[in-house]
Amino acid sequence: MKISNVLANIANSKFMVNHIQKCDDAKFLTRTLLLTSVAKDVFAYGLRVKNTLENDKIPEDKKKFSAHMDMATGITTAAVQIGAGFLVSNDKLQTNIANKLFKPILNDKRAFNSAKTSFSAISTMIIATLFAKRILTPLIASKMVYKLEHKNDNKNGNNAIGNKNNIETKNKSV
Amino acid sequence: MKINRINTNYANPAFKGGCTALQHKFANTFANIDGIGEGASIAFDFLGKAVVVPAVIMLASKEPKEKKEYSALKNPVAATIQLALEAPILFFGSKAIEKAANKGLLDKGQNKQYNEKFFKDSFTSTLRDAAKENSASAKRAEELINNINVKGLTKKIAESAEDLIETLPEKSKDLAKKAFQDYNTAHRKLYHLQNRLCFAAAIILTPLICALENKLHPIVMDKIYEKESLNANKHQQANVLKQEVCSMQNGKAWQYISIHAFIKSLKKGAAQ
Repeated sequence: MKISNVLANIANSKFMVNHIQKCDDAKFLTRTLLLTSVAKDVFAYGLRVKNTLENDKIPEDKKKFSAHMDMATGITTAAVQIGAGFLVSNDKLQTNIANKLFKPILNDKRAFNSAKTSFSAISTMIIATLFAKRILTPLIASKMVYKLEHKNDNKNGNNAIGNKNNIETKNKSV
Repeated sequence: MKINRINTNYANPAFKGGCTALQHKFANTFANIDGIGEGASIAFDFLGKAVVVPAVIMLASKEPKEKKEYSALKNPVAATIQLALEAPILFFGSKAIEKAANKGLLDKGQNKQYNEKFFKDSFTSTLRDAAKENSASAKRAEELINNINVKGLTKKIAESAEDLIETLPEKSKDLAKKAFQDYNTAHRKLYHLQNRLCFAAAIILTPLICALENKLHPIVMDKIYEKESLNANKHQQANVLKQEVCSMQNGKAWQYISIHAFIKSLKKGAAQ
């Protein structure tokens, strides 16, 4: 089967035709952009988790920790981006902002709608990909790392004390 | 009189007009932004990784300065590599899809919804026919068609097309309007299709992009740090030599310290 035939089938499929028709709506277009961006991140994190788990050079305990961390960061980045993006792309919020920001062209329906669509997409991308993904996610993820590390420290510390006690009692008995 | 003048100025402050003009400019800028799609998504991702992350690391991290600088530098390098890999996929992918659509490879029987060229040709011939009776309109139509051929259907060109159609005689206006609507719809549909297919291509190629990024990133970082450490070594050796010259002038103890440091630095350099 030719590539062009495959492309033609995909392009003319019911799903794609419906999806492209809906892209005329500013909110739908913005959220589609957001979701495609999130999907790429989630896929990349998933791949990283798989590669870490399959890498025999990493010690078993570190491998699990690293894979869990990547998975947690992937889930966090998706949740934070979708949450922030959906919040910003909300119709009421965007209409309110556009009415205030684009007051001078309020009477020119065509220009106003065009400006509103562009602003909706750009503001959502800025909040989701610059603020949520690059500032909020590392903050949440680093807190998670800290907590997980402390959990391990405590466990290791208890084990170490346990081992130390075991060694001392062994020496005394000898 | 003076008081009145002051009052008038307060009623219409100069900055208010300036502010409205600025707001107008701002609104028009957003109204003229064209084609927010995968390209914008890649650009924002690049900006985040290349600018925001290093800024956050430099401002918020409590790590030692050297470690902080290395972490901050790592991100723009990774972002540039990612951009260099993703942008060609989008650019060449979009071009290939456009070519396929315009050749009619994406048509399904009589359904030519993505065939922009077909609808463009139909619109330009309809417009030429409709505008030929009036020389001024004919001239404007030719200008518009030239612009479309050079720049494609941008927002501004679409607006001027709609304005021109409004000036056409009643009997041909509807035909031209319909032809333009079809052309505009095909243009938008093709654009969204390009974005979605390029997104799918980016997802499929993610393992390859990640593998290439993992290979290229350490090489680039090593090269950057190799250069920096070479410069640092040269600087260090020059300082030691200076110290040695001073010590030769001032006494044996200084000479001993400087030679010791000199040998140490040479050993370090050789090891590196």
